Amino acid sequence: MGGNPPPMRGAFSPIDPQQHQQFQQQQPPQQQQQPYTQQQHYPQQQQQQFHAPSPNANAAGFGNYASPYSAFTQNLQGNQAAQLGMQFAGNAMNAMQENVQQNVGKYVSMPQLKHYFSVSNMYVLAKLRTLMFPWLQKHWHRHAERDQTGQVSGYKAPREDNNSPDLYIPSMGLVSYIIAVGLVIGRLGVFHPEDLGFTASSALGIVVFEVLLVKTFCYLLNVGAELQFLDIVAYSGYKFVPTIALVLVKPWAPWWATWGAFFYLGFALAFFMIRSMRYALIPESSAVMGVNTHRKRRIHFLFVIAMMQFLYIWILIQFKTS
Amino acid sequence: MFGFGTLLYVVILLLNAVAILNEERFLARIGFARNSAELYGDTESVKAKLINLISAVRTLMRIPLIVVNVVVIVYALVLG
Repeated sequence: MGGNPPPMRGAFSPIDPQQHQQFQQQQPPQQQQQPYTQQQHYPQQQQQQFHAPSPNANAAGFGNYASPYSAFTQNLQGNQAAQLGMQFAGNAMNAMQENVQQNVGKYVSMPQLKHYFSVSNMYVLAKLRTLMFPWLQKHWHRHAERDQTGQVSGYKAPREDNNSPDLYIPSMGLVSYIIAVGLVIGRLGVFHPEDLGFTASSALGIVVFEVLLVKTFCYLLNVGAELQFLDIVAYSGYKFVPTIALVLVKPWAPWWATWGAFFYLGFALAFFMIRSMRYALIPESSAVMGVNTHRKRRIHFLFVIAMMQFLYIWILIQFKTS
Repeated sequence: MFGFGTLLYVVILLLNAVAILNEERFLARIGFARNSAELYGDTESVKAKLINLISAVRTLMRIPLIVVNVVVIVYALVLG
């Protein structure tokens, strides 16, 4: 408890300042030289504030009025144990906050995650249209974000660039997929709460499997910083959009319509994956040295990723009832 | 069937499979031993990356895998 208490607390002490001065004059001088305890520290602060009011102390006093805890601390002023407890609780709170920030920040960087969630209505509509009709899209390049000096510092957020991957559609898609499957099973009249768990497990399992697969191939083919981890997660999550459409269509449409929709949507998703991951895997500029290693293998790999989308969608629409 | 638990089992089994490969008897014979990466002198090729990955798994994952395997075996015995 060695931390200096904030100077403004003394200003609210119920003890009269005049009395205080007398009290302090009566005290033997060597007692004031002792190392700080809280009892001695507060009166000293108070005395300074009253006799030589500096702008700093005033500002601190105003700050205390604004604090929601000021009334609370005022009541506790006389109670030494409660004060210690308050300070201790504050310290523990701060330590806990720091701990959370450190541990979460170690695995996921919060600004980066926020970047993926900064979407607008227009972006979401444009992305859904692109997923359904990727052939209408002309430009697939992502725009570079530039700082004040004109240096390239990453890519623009989804809000400003329709070709940027986001995590909003994948996360909402995952939840909507689980709910849509539950809805369809419920309409068939055999719903059981466990089905939601099975569906969530298999949907997450497929996403994790795809991310692991892509990550392994990226390691083998020397794809480093071009394809970020969260980009892979985002592209892997877009498959839920066509899947939801198929899940809702499947139980009621005739078999040929389901098959037609499956092939059309699967092909659209595969096309989308190829076009949007191309910028990372197969760079256009062949002038850069060392970029074009494994160019042919990367093309094959991209094709395999795209064709796997059919398999994933097929697995995802085969939901079982328990 | 394609749930998260199945995926976990698959990953653990694959890691086990890599971890038990024998350096002298098997990997050296097919040219995947750790020191054969230095013979090529490149770290870019797919084969060099594979060799690196295998040796990394064999070095790093051996002791964690013992713990994970014991946990999975106990779990499968009790609840499987």
